[in-house]
Amino acid sequence: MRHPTGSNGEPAQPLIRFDKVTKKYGTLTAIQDLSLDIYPGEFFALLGPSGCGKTTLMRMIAGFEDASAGSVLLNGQDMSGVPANRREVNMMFQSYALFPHMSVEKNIAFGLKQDGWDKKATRERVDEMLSLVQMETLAGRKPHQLSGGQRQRVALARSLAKKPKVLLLDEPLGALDRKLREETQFELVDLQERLGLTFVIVTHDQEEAMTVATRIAVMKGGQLLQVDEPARIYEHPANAFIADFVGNVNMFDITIADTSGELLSCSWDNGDTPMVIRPQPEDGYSVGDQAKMVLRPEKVHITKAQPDAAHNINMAPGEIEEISYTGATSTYLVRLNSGALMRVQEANRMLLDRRELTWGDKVWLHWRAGACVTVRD
Amino acid sequence: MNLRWLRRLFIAIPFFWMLLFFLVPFAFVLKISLSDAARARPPFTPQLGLEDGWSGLIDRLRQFDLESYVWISGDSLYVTSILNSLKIASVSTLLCLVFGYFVAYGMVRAPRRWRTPMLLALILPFWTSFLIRIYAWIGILKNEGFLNNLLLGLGVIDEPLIIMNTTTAVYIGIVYSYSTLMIFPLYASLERMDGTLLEAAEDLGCSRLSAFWQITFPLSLPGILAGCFLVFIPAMGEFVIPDILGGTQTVMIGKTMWIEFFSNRDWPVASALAILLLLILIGPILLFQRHHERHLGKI
Repeated sequence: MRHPTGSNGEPAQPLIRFDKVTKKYGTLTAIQDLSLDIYPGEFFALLGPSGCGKTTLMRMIAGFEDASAGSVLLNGQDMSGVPANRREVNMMFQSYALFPHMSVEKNIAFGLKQDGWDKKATRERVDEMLSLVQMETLAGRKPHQLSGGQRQRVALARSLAKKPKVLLLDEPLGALDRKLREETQFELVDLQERLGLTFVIVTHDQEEAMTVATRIAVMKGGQLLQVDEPARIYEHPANAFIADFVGNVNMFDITIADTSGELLSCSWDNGDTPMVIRPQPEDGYSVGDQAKMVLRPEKVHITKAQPDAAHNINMAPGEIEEISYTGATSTYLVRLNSGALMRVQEANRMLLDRRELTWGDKVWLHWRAGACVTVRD
Repeated sequence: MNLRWLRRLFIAIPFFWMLLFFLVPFAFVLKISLSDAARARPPFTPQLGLEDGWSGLIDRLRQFDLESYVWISGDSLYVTSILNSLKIASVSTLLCLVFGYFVAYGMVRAPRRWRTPMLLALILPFWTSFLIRIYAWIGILKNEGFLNNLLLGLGVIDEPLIIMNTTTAVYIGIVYSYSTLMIFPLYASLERMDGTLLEAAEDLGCSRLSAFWQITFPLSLPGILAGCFLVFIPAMGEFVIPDILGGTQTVMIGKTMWIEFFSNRDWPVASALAILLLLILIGPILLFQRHHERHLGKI
């Protein structure tokens, strides 16, 4: 696992450490013997389907849940028994949890008031926060007078006002419409970089996790499946579940036929067509091994003419069965001659009426040996 | 066209109801309060009628005066009973609020499956007659009653507490009878509250107790106000509880009115008292209405 290093090249001290943490609710195990380090300055995403334990993990950092076994460390200190109100961690809630009887200003000042800040310092800090989220003009409003996006900004400002060591974001953008969500994702990244804080985000939206996070932990059934940078998660998934959960994917069973050359050679799809795959250093296959080939739809090309053969190009003929047009891209479902279904995504560089591909066309699919990776199981 | 008439008819029904059962009786009472007591049947003059023709009616109308009101202002008994009623109603409202808040808060905090049985337990006593429930308190509070026997038996006290026929008994009766009216609006406003607000407060450095005063309490204010009005208004005019539990010691306006009507047969003074009580209560009632409408507007 790769992680950030300190200035002198030494591994940095983790800000948050889960040390063999288990969490049980009665007979139900929400978190199973989990260890994880999160470093200062990271924008860390906990990604997984609902019920995978990601929210429980976040609530343990905040102090709303205690570990049944193992320990949670913050800045090297064991946090067990430290209540939520004494942790230098703040949380932005999924529902925003703005206090409905207080103005925007009072909401933002709430945490400062608990810490006994004087009037002047509070005033300054609140103003600073208001300008940070561009809400200066709405300081006197009550939450019910704000739009969803504005509430989200107030919630963000409130959770940042106390300069927490860690900001926890629980599905922070779930209630926003798509366009606003995308804009806000970029703003969050920008904010995190400017403030130099550590953000931990919980989300079930893999696109959101990849957009904002510097590192992602993919979870399932209370365990970590893979902790890595977004591009590694997407392009080198640790297993078939992650490959399928993160983005669209074509997955085929393969049998390794030859490992002697620069490229792995394998049989797939009833053995009709050979395929070459550029191996990863950690793969270590031997002849006869079973694996799954992972090929992202956008890495496959689709043409009417048969492409020129090359030693590192795979190709397969087929027929277009379905086309779905989503504006920027089109997705083609192509039935290969061998019977398998392949999903291909192409950018729509031409206007739709100039496109030469249509339903029922005989086409050739081709992809490079380096475009696909393999996963075991 | 037809639909518009139908709509007007529907709107007219509640107005008609109010006219028939509130405004007309109110006019009767107002008229009686301006009359003079008399040994007659009904026991006041003048009787309005057209036996002497229109000029006769006008002569009779001339007999109206404010004598009853002047009489009331001159006798400290009435002022005392009004002030006493105000005091008892206010203190009872406060007691109901404190007691009711604990109950409502406890109910909201209890496991979800307990809520329905608890709500049911609150409503069930209403299936018995109010009068019987108040009489039952005599059995509990009297000198050789259940409470005294229990305390004597436990050795907490050496001689029976005298509770019956005191103001304390009236407070107990009112709190017992009216706290349900306090608990329901409180329960509704507490139950509606989003639990993550308290987590957010705690997350921002607030202790549990402090979160209660800064978040829970202010957010339950609509419930508190509604409950206070619902208790204060009927407690102010309460007659049965002071009569049965308070004995002669407790003078309240409702009881004084009863005595004027049925013992003294001085209907004009009794009616004048009724009008005064209404004037006193109209303030809180209007406030309650306004608050209620504003609150509805928010939702």
